[in-house]
Order: sequence, then C-alpha cells, then structure tokens
Amino acid sequence: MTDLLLSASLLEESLHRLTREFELFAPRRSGVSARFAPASAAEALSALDQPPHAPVKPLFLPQKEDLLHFSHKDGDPRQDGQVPRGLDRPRLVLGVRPCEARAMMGLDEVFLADGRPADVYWRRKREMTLLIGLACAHPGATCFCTAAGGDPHGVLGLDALLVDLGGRYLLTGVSARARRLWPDAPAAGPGDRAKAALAAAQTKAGLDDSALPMSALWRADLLSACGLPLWERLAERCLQCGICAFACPCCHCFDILDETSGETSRRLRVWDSCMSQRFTRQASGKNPRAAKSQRIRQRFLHKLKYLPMRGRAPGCVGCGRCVGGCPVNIDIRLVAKAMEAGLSMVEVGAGDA
Amino acid sequence: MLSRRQAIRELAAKALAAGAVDAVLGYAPGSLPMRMRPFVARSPGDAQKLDWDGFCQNDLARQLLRLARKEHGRLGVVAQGCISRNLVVLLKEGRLDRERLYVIGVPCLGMIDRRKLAQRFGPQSLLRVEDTGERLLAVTARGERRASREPFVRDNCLECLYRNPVLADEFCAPALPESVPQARAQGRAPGGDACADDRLAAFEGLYEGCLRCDACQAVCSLCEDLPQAGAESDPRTSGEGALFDETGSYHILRAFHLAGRCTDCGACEAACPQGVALRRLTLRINRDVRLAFGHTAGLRLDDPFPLFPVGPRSEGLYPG
Repeated sequence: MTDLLLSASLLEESLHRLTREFELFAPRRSGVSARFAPASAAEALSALDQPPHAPVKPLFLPQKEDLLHFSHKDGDPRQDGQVPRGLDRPRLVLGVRPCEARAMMGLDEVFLADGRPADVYWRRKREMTLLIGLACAHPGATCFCTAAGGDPHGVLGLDALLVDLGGRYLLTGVSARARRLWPDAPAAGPGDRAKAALAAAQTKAGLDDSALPMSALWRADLLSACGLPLWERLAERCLQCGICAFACPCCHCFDILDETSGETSRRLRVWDSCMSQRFTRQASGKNPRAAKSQRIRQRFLHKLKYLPMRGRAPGCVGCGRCVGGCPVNIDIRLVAKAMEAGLSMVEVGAGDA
Repeated sequence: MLSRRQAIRELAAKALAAGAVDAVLGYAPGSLPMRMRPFVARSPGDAQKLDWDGFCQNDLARQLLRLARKEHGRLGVVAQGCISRNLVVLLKEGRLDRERLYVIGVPCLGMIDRRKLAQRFGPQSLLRVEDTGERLLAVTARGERRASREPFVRDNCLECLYRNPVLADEFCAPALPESVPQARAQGRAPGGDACADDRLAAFEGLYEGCLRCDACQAVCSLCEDLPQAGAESDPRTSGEGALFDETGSYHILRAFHLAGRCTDCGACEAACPQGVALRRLTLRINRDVRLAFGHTAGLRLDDPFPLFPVGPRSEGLYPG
C-alpha cells in the first residue's frame, strides 16, 4: 500500500472518529516511568510530541492476569472453570516505538506459534489491538536498535508507522487491518517521502550500529562462552532484582499461581524472571542454576546465542530499557562486547562490562 | 571530588600492594551519563579505576556481603556515612567480621538524584554531568550549564545527619561539619492523621505502581534474608507477582524488618524503577524507634538493638 500523508488536523479528526470504535491508548508519564494508558483523542495527539518510552508488553502480558475462575460450590457453573471475559472493545495504541513493535514479533513466536496451541489470552488481545508506531527522532543514551538489527523508522510489528515531518505525518507500512482507518488520507508525495528518509538517516546517524557484535556472538563456540570469567565478575555486582527482565520487551517468563478464597478460586499468571534464585528450583529441591553467575550467564546466552542458534530472532531489540533500569549499571552492550572478546573482567575502565 | 577520588585510589592501591587486602570494593565510572557502578579492584592497577562522586548511589555493603562469603582474605570497602552505619548494623548482627574489613571512609557531600536532573534538563538531552563537589557541570546537546548541587541532591541526603563515616580505618577527605538539616522529614505515616479508611487508601496508593521486581530488597544490605522470609513462608505471605494484597504485605514486611536497622541510605528509592516512595514507610518506623527507644541505627558497635537481641552469627544466608 502506498504511503499516506496526514496533516495534524486530519490526524486529530481521525482520532476523534476512531474513538467511537476503539479505545485509544497513548504513552503517559507515570512518576519516573511511563506506561500506555487510555487516552482521549486530544491526549493521544499531544502525547506524540516527544513521548516517553512506554512499554507495549504489559498491554498483552499484564503483570498479573486471571486465567481461570473456579468455584467449589455445588451447582455453580464455574465448577469447571471459567475463562474471564477478554477485551470488550478493540484497542488502538498510538505512539509505539519501532523497537517495541519488533519485540512483539518475537513474543508472537512464543505465544502463538512454536507448534503448540496458541495462548488464547495473548491471541485475543493481539487480535483486538492495532499498534500505530511513531518513528524515533532523538535516540537516547541507552538506544542501540540498529546494532540489534532494528530500525528507528522500522515498520516490523506495526499496523502503521507515523513519521513526524513537522506539522504533518507520513503514514507508512500500513497493514491490511489498518487500511480502512484512514480512507480519506491523500497519498504522500515524493517530497514527503524524501523528507522522511532524511529524518531516518539523521536518527540512524546518532546510533552506534556496532554496539552489539551480534554475528560474532552467533558464531562463537558455546562452551567457551559458558566458561568465561565474565559471568562471575558480573555476579559481583548484579542484584538479581529482575528489573532487566521486567523492563525488557522481549522477556516473557511467567509463573502460574492458584489462589483460593472461601469457595472461589482463581488461577492467574504473574511476571517471573530467570534472575530469581528460585526460577529453576525443582520440586525435588535441586536447582540447576543455584549460583547467581549461572543465572546471569543464562540470561545473556539465551538472548544473544541460544535464540539465534535455533534460527529465532535474538532476544534483544536494542531498546535500552534494561541499561537504563539496572541499579548497578550492567550494560548488555558491554557484556556482548566482553563475550566477543572472550575477556575476563580483570581489566576495567569506563565502558567495560 | 577530585581529592576524594585521588585519596581513594592511593589508599586502595597501597593496601592492595602491601597485601593488606585481597580486593577493594568501590565504584568505577558506568557506561551511561550520571552513573557510577560497583567495582572490585584486585590490584594496584585496578585501584586507579576507582572513582567517587554524587552518582555513587548503591549500598555497597550489599555487594560486600557476597564478596565476604566468596573470598577468604581481607576486603577493603569504600564507605560514606550511611553505608558505614550499614556496616555497623551488619557487624553487630555477626554478618561481617571487623578483622576482615578495611574501611576507606568518605565524608559525603550527598548523592545526586538523576531524576531531578532529568526533570530540569530533559531526560534525553544530558550527555554528561560532572560533579565537582561544589557544583554540577551539565553537558547537553545545546551546550554546557553550571548548576549548584543542592537542588539536585537526593531527598534522604538533604536530611542526613551523619555525613562522616562512624566506622573507618582511613578517611579520604577531612571531616565535614555535621549539619542540622532545615527540613527534616517528620516521618509522617502515609495518610497522616486521617481516618483509617483514608490512611489505608494512602498506604495502598504508595505502592500502586509496584512491579514486585524486589529491587528495593535486592539493593539493600540489610534485606539480604528477605526473599526467603517472604516467598518461602507457607501460607505464602508475600511471594512473587504484584498481587495486590501480597504487595502490601511485602512492603510492610520489609519496612518492619528494618526497624531499628535502617539508616535511610536511600539506595532503595534510587533503585526503584517505578518511583515508589519507599522511604514513607521506613522513615515512619525510624521515627517511632527513635521516639520509643531513643535509638538511631548503626551509630555505635556497642549500642544494643532496641527490638531484638543479637543472636548467633547468621548462617545459610541467601547463597549465590
């Protein structure tokens, strides 16, 4: 489909129109962090001006989510379990970063494909949600999407991408699902497309595309990577708090709990993290990753080595949220470089992992 | 700050060269602006990487606990006032050996709150911030700005009464005059003196954004045993997952188990990715302990804990 041009007023008008059908979501600052929250058309529009980095993952995999409701009462139809109602209205999420959208494709592989029955909770939310991205203009100190194979103007995983051209937006990468949302928008001209291409080049120039030596890591010998002294060095300061896993748009581990209160029960899932000491503890009490250095190693090897080894997209899209969130400044870019160099961490300077 | 940095490097290098310690735990520059990160120096060469400024925001005693279990020799640690008080608490509880420690004390000018800086200059535009001790030099895409430190000092540091280490083998700078802060947090409970329902609402609002990442527990040297206490209990009181009632239990558990121990070092609030106002709880408990028992945590090795006897050395702590 050809690129479209949306003037600011056309975008505003369309958002007003779309709120009749969709619940609109936009990035909103929330204390020191940010999240996607329901928004009016006006709020969504103003959020497009330098939006905070809000994670998309919680819209599809919430921190806690009821899976089933049970009853222990005789005759109650919920004795066989009842799946909670899903979304009532479709959602239109505005201002998604291209890195986040790319991560969603990796999560789709986990929850929808993988040769197993689909995760119905994930699938329903995905079917009911359209993701409209906003091309990035100003990379932050923690951004490295191009090094991870991404693109600040990428359309992968999005239903459409807005590129701010100053007072108007190029609308590109429009999916089949999103085609009908802007029926009256004119086609973008070559001048608009050139301006967007220039903006993309300018943003990419501000990114270090060598920050993550991905192909070298894929080829590296696995046992050597496992034996690096790096992992013990990182364990000296890693707190195993799990902020990295919770912040990461590619991370998706969860635990399932049953809660009973009186005569009703619910089964729910909650976020979990492989950094937790109990993550691999078995019912026997044995724990194959009892040492912190083993868990740290697992995290980075899974993302940067095991997934590509299995022909999957790596578990890092270069969004930088882990780097910004880590209380002890463990930086995946430096970990990857140290892995590649096969260095131990005896040599340290500013910039060493 | 330059003189502190230099003195820390010299003291650490000297101790390492003489074999007086096997390692010195301090800070080194991080990979991002406004970051220092914990660093273990194991040689005089390593010691030249040690650094110090207002972005040394962790509780190094937490890393020290693990290092002390993994290694068998003597260990150096760089500690400012509050962290030296954490060391006192840990020594009293038998979790550390005084003979194995070499403490490089830092009279502290207060840590800088990155979020206050980001709010003033814009989160994306700060390329580098240099802390000279007297002022901050903020380098943005639009040029350099000088600012005085005080508007950006962390809240708990603005209220600090013990800037000079209470326990140290050497000092890297002359002692600072201890100030009486103008605005001392009164330790008001969330909701103050409102009715019970409003206070409950205020309490629940406190941790509304909590993700249960448990970074507050993970970064604190005095909370090392907490994961087992919460998650291993049966019935589960505060396991994993941000279940609403369990999140409240977790924060109550953490705050209360710090009673008589918390030194308000602020590492917990600095680590929290959601900006939960954790100190609202601990300050209230610290205040109550002060009023009821006349006790302030971590000032003296011979000062008994008000709420529990010192037991035998804790064993089987959180491994890994």
